[in-house]
Amino acid sequence: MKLGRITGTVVSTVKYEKYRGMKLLKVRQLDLNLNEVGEELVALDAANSGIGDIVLVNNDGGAAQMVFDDKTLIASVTICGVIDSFTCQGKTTHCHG
Amino acid sequence: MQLARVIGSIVSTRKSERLEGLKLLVAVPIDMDTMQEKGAPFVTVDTVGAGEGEIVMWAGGSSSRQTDLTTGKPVDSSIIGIVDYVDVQGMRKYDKAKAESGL
Repeated sequence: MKLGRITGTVVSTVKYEKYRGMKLLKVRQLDLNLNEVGEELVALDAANSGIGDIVLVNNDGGAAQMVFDDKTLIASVTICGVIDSFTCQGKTTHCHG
Repeated sequence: MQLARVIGSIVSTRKSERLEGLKLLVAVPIDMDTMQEKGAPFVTVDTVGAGEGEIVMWAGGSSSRQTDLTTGKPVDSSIIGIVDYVDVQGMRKYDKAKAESGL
């Protein structure tokens, strides 16, 4: 899993049937200094996250199936958790304002 | 499996209920030739009681969901061992006891 920041929402009307009722979010990967790195991804939300939240981004299709308890779900990126804080080499970063 | 060094931990209250009870750590990949950190840090699940500073073995993808702790959990990488020492072609590249005593 990687750190990410929710940057927006995605609205889709015509979509894969199983995505009906699911929240699609835009997420940007972050490094440990919370600088944006890498590309922006579209993710399914499993943690009730919102714009601006620092989140755990899971980049595994199998894990997505576990989160939503559906072995036939087609998904690759999932938001699994909202991060409160993290500690790296003695330095604690709080992710809520 | 690959090597990484544990450099931190993560606290998350609001998360997928399937992730509850798992210890989340931050690790950075280790280059086997130089035993130096190489590559981007990642978040991983601890299944062996690893702590900050230790060099660990980790598995990614569906293999990471094969441990007793992570079966059926939405996990994409797991720490599955703590490294005591690394020998490559007769050379001791890393020794945990020495590293911890500062030699």
